[in-house]
Amino acid sequence: MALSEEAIRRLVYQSCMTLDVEDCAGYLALCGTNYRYRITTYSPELKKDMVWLDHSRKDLANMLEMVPQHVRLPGKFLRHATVQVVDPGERPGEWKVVSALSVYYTDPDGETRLFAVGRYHDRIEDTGGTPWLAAREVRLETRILGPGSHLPM
Amino acid sequence: MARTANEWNRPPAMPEDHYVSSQIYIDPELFSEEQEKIFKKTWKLACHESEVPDAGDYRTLEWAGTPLVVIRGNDDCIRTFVNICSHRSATVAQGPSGNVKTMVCFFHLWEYDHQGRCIAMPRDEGYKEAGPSKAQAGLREVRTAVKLGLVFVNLDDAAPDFADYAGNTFEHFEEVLGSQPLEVFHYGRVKMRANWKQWHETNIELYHEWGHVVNRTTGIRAPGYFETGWKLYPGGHGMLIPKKIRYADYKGWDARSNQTMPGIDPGELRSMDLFPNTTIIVRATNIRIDTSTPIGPGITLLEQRGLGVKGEPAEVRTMRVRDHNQYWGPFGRNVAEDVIFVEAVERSNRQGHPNWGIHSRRENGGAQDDDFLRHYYAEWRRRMGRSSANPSNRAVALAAE
Repeated sequence: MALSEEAIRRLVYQSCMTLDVEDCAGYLALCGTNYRYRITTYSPELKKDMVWLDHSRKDLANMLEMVPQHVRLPGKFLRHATVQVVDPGERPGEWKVVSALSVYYTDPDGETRLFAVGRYHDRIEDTGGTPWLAAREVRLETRILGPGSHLPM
Repeated sequence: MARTANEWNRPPAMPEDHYVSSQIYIDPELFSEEQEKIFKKTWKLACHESEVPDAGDYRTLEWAGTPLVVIRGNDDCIRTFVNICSHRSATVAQGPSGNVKTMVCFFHLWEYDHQGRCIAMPRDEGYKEAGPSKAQAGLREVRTAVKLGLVFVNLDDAAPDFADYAGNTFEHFEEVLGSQPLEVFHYGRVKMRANWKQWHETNIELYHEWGHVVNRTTGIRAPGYFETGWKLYPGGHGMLIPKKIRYADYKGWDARSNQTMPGIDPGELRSMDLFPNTTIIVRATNIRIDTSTPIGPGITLLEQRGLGVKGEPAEVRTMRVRDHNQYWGPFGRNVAEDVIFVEAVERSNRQGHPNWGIHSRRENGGAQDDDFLRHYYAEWRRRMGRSSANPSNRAVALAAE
C-alpha cells in the first residue's frame, strides 16, 4: 500500500507530541532500528556548520534514559511542526520530508516564549503503509538557546 | 536551627575574605566600576587564531562597551582595532566574521588597511585645508597578544604585557594548546540572567559538581578525586591539578582513552582560569574555552568554544565533537545545568537575598577547597579598591586590605 502524505504528517506530528510529554519510549517507537538523529546549525562566526548532537538510536535511548536524573529547566516545551515538503526518496518506500519547526517554552508560571526555530529534515521509510523515522536532522536557525535542553528538539 | 531576620542579615562570623556581599552581583554602580577597573584593564580572550586563518580574515566582538575587530594582516600578524570609523563613527567591519582586502566603511567609504592605516577618503582634497589627513585618520589600535593560539586583547595601552599578566598560568597547557595547530569546531553563546562572576565561580569551585549527575558519576567517585586540588598563580589566576575521570561510568559514554589531546592522558581532566573571565577545560579528547561579556549586573553573554586538532581525520573529529557535546553545547548534559544553577542564584541575589555568599570551605587546598575563590576575589578587591564583603564601605574596605 502506498504511503499517504497524511500518514507522513501524522508521524512528524507524533514525534513532536511524544517529546512534548517526554514519552521517550513513544518517541523511539516511531524510529527505525538504524535511526540517526542530529542537531546542526551554521555558525557565521566560524563560517562553517556545527554539529550539536549526533546520535544513533542506541545513543539516543541511553541519553533519554538518563534525562530524569538531570537538573532541568522546569516547565514545558511545545514543538510545532508544519510539514512543507514531501518528496520521494532515492529508494522505493523512502520519503524526504521537510518541516518548519518552532519550539515554545512555557515556564511554571505560565509565561511562554519562543525557544528556537528551525527545520526538520526527515528521511521517512515505510513498510505496508506504516511509516517510521529513518533519520532526522534538526537544522536550527536559533543559536542562542538560553540554558539549552536535555531533550531532543 | 532556622534563623531570625537579624541573624539572617548579620555578616557571617568568619574572616571577611570567606564571604562576599550579594551587592557585588547586582549593584549597577559596582558594575560600572568593574567596567573601568577590571574589564578595561585586563586581558580578554577575543578569539582563537584559527578563526582568522588567512590574511584579511576578521572576527568582531564587543568588550566593555567597545566594538572591536580582530584581523589577520597580509604580514600574518593578528591585530585588533576599535571597530569604529575615524570619520563619523559607523561600524567598519560588519557581521561576526569575514574577509577583506581592506576595511572600507560602508557609510562614506573611508578605507583602512590591515594595519589600521587610513588609505583612502573619497575626494580627500576636501580635507586639505582643515584636515584630517589620512595619516591622522587611522583606526584606534588595541593591544593584542597571541598566546598558544589564543588571541587576547587589552583596551588599556598602559596595562602590563600579557606575558607579565598571565605569568606561569599556562605552564601545564603549553603542550595541549601549542604542540599542534588547533581549530574551533564549536562556537556557542548563552545569554544568561546572571552576573558574570557567578558564572566564573562555577568554573573555580568544584563542589557544584555534586549538582551534576555526570560529575557525581564520573568525577567525584573517581579514585583520587579529593587528593588533588588547585594551583594558584599571582593575579587571581589558577589551575586545577589534573585528575583522572571515569567517563565510562556515565551510561552510554566511553572512557576517552583514545585520541586524547596532545599531552593529555586517557580520561584526564585539566583546567585553568585566567582572571577575570577566561577558562580552559580539557576533558581528555577535546577542549572547551569560556569567556564572557558582561552586559549588565544581571545579564551576561557567555561564549564557549570547542576545539580539536586542525586537519585531523574526519572520524577523529566526529569523535571529538561527540565527546564535546556530551558535556557541553546547548544540548550537552552539563552546560544547561550550570546555567540553571547560576540563574537561580541571580534570581535571589537580584533582590538582595541573601546578603552573603559563603566561600569558607577549607580542605587543605584540595579539590573542593574554596582557596581559589578566595584568591580570585582577592584580585577583584585589589583591582576595585573595595571589600567584596562590604563593597559600599570604601574606608573599611581599604583598611581591611
